[in-house]
Amino acid sequence: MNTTKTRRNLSVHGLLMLAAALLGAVSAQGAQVGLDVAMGSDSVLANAKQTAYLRVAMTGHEFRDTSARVPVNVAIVLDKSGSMSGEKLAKAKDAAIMVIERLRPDDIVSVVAYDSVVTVLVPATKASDQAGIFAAIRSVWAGNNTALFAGVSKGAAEIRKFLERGRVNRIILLSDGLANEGPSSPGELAELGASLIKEGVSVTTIGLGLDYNEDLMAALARKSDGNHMFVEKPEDLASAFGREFGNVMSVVAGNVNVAVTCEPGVRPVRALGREVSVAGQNVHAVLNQLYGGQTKYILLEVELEPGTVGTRTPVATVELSYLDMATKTTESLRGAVAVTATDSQALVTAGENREVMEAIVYQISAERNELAMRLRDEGKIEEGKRVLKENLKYLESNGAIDTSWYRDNGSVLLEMDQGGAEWGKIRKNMIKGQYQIKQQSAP
Amino acid sequence: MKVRLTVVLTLIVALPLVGLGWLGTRVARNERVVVEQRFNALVLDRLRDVDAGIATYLAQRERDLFSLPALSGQTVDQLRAMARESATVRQFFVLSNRNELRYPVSLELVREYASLRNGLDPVPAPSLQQPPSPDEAESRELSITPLTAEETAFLERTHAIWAGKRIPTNDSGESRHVNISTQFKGWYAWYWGDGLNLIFWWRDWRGAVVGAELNPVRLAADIIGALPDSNPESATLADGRISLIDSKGATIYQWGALEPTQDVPPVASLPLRAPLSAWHLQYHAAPNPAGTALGGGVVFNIVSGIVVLGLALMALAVYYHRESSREMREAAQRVSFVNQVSHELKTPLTSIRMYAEMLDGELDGNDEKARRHVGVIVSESQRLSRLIGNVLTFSRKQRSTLKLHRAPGSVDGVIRSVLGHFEPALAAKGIRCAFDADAAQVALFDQDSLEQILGNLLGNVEKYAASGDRVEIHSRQGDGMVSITVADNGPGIPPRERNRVFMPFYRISNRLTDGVTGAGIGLAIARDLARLHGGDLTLEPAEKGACFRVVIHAPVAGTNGEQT
Repeated sequence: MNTTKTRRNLSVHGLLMLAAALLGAVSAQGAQVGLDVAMGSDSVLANAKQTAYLRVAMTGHEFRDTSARVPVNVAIVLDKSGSMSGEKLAKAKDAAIMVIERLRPDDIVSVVAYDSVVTVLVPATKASDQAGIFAAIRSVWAGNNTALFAGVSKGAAEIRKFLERGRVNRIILLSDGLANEGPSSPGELAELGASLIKEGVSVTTIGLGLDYNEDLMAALARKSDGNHMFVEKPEDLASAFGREFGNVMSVVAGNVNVAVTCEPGVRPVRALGREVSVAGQNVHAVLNQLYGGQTKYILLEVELEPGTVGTRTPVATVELSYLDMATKTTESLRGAVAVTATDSQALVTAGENREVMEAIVYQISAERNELAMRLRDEGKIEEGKRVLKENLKYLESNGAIDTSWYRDNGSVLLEMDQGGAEWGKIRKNMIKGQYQIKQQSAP
Repeated sequence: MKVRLTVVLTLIVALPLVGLGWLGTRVARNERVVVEQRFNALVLDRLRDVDAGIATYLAQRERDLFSLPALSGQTVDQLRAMARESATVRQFFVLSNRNELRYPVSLELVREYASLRNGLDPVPAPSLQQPPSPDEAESRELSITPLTAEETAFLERTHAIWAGKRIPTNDSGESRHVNISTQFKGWYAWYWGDGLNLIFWWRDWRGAVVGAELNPVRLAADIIGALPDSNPESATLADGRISLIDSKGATIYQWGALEPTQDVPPVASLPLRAPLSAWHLQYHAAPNPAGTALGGGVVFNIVSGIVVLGLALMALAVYYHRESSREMREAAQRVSFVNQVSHELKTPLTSIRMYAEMLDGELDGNDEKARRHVGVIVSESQRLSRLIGNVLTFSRKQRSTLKLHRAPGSVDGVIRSVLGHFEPALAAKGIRCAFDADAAQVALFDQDSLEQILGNLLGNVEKYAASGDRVEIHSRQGDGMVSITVADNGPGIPPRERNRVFMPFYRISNRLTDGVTGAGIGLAIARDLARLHGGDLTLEPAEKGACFRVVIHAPVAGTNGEQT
């Protein structure tokens, strides 16, 4: 995001902008990761319960040695159901071959193809024997059903053969259809994803065409902290795979654990965007990795007890631990944040942290976008439109007019009446957009 | 004759083949049953191996859980962290020494327990500040704190277990209770939501019963990961299809090259061992695996056996057929040769006979010796004429040009004339002739044919019945038919030869035919002629010797429309 733009736009209530944006926030800097803990505003109104937002932002720093990268352990899981036959499967094979060509000999790769049954085409192996791998990939032809769950399970089993925290462990799942064999609900796939991330395995899901279940694919990716992509045309598969491998190869930190401990009198309400687990005053979140040059954050909504004017109250402490992929050591960073109670709304506004406010705006607009989609799913088109209009106004009032996210919301509003495949395509784009905002994943 | 031979030969070839084929089919069927049983046993063994693999996976989970630090000694935060970090466990729990849930526990649940106790043993509802019942030594480590969403969901899922209700553990609604007081560890399976959930519980070293609820989705994923994939070389029975089926009949996972059709039932089915006994394994075989894979050899052996035997039998039949038809052909060639020669001989023989008979008449009565010599010439030339006549008749019959020339005449006259010709020769062999004539009326018949019939019969007497001393001839006339019997008292004809004597070129035996010449067609021609005459020639039963009976249609001349 562009700093000038945010400076220009983020005057939430159109009031004064003062300096000291980071006042009261604590930043910490590790070798590979920067931690920034900040509140939406440094000040809150006193003498009343207040809802406030706390952002824990983690930025991955690119390796100094630009040629260095973390060894990867990738399982490519390809759909070879009947609907993939022809160009789709051919392009998918080409894309897989293209990205495997970029691997180094010490990387691990496995290739799994599934229809109603699963075939491990390339059991997990060093990427050195490329000719053999390519021959196995080229031998695939399309079959019957879509045992997606089994495909991912087998991919995970291959990953597990060389599972180590010092590698980027990634399943790249391609599917163009509905899972119809084995566990097939978004909830079940989400649970699988949630289980895999505990081992340090992420699943990136690439939905191809207009027939896949975007809820399922997004849920699997979200719970395992992978990426989710929507590829409408087979010819775009190569670039999608390429982007994903770019992501995989830019990982600088793994096993990122964030523990937020709220001070007494601060009640964690919920998280916006990325999911967290809340237990009492403790909030915990896991990110499987941080990419070089990217910032990921956890955004918490907290409820503050009434404060007295002029007192500065600690809100939370943050402990971040991660595995430095360059040194293979576990590093930890600490941060803390506090707010000052005031009786002046102007001071509250003046104390706003623009980056945090921007994150809040985007997360809330993503939630509204999702709400509009759910309403449309239930057939409540007009209500959905109303939510989208409000969302557009909300974005406008916060100065996000130029962004693609604003344009996406606008075009969805125009096409809410569409049905069938057209709506399916819009919906897939909506899910993708929501995913990118919620997970802060690269487009 | 020829048709019958062909039929017989065909049967000789076909019957053993049919028999062997039937036996072979039975053997093949039995073999197939045996092979199928063996195959099914193999399949079941394989399914048991798969089951054992799954059980190994669960045993590994047991070991993992045993290796954890004693759960009853952990704080709530530690237990939460353990569940959060475990990929396979969804929730841990700890029971008190009264087998009541101590973690995770909600205030409502504690109050519910208290009310269930019905005041007998009142337990004060614990508060957040105050740790419950100090009499439990380990209870200090666990205190009631607000539940996380995961813990709440766990209590909701397992509420019926802790409330002591009976829980259906499989589809048939059976229920069971785990006896935690006597057992050391165990699995507990129950249904919640979409399917089977598993709890493993054990006594940790502090004596408390603790447990872990496995993540069912992860369980399925791990089992899938442990099972073979569909690479042809990675699994036995890879040409079939093995499926893991859950309690609702849905396929969790399957592998193998075969794509089974919906309505074909599986060859074998095996429920998994506890605690996953609600799931089962199915095996679908490729169509007729026994026939193609294992029984094929037997079928091939049987078919090739039948083919080889059939070829051998056919070769034998062909050989036999060729041999028999060669004999027939040779005989026919003989007749054909004799036939040609006969035509050439007929004219000179007629001249010889005529001149010999003239000479006989011209000789004066004193020259006995010359008269005897002429008599021999006449009788031998008559015999030769008969032979030639038979041959010519036979060949005419072969060409279907045999025709009758009926003319009015006396049957007795013809008999006397023939006897007249034979008497000298018969007398020379010591055979007397007795003729009982009773067919004197003039009738319409072919004199030449009748002469030929009688000549052949008497010729046989002369040839074969020389050991006898007389021949009796009877003639009868009536109803337009004439019947003549010729009976000798020679050696006769054995009963089994009675039909065959009428076959052309048939000779009874070497014993009888030793030193006897002839073509072997006399009786056949005689019968053919008799049948052509609307009658028959039959061999009558007789006490001694042979008795032939000739019947011919010979209507009395002049009666009612009999002029032909």
